[in-house]
Amino acid sequence: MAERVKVWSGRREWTAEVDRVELWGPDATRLLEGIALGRVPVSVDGAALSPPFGWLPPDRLPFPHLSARENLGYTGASRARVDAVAERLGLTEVLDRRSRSLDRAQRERVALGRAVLASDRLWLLDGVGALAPLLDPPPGVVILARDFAGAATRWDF
Amino acid sequence: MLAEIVTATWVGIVATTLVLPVAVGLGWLLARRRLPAWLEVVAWLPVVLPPGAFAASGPGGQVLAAALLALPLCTLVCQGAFLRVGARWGHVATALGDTPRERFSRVDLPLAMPGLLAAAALGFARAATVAAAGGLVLAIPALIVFGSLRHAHDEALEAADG
Repeated sequence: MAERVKVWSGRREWTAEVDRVELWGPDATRLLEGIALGRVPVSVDGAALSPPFGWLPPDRLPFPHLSARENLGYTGASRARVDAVAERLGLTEVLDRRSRSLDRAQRERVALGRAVLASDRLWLLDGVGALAPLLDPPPGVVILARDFAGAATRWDF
Repeated sequence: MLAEIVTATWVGIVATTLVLPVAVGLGWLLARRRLPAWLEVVAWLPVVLPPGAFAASGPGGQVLAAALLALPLCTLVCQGAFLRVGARWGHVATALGDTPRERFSRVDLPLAMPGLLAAAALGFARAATVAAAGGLVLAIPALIVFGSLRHAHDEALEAADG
């Protein structure tokens, strides 16, 4: 099988031939953040990628000064795509509310929606856990995630 | 008396309008970047210069004196506002593809807005007071106020680093 995703940091590199990878260990969060900020190089199908990435940060918080809709559409997703993702995540009723007024579970889902709408190449999900059933990745997207039961392989850190 | 109030008010408004963009930029740089120490010293210089240095005549001189004396206070409050926002949201915006300019206008600026409005209000009060005093201001009370702000600011910095 062809190499699907490669990450290299310093003298180490990690590769996977599948598109669902779980990152495990104390440095997993740091690596995901490094990739998200463009400090740690990553390539998918041999092409180096740069932001925007679908990053779900470990605190899973949306921008507090924006509404749920503005968070979901932060990277310029169309209104139809925002509405579709909001419906799947159960956020339709709260789309026009400020995210700081949402409860914890709603805020997590807004942050997840913002991540999945940001990129159709690479999702960096720092802690999937109970959000896993809400993931509906389009074909071709590579997912590097912590706490990801649906992964096909695992990188240890 | 009324004429002095009117003069102090418009000098305060003009000086604040001039100072605020500089203070916001400088406050952001001080909060987000490691800058050479001399730049911070320059920003603080008006506080430690003798009050007589700011005795100004004419409308232009009054505005300039008021602006120079309001700058450190405005800068410090702006810096505190950006420190309170933290770098976290900027990181998220970077990951989502924002350029540094977009990050500033879409995330840092709106999140720091309450603090920046406070900086504008304090800057106006400072500038108007200076104008009302004819440019001659007492340095010691100002230094006491700045000292306490500085202490709070250092604590915020330590908290941000920790």
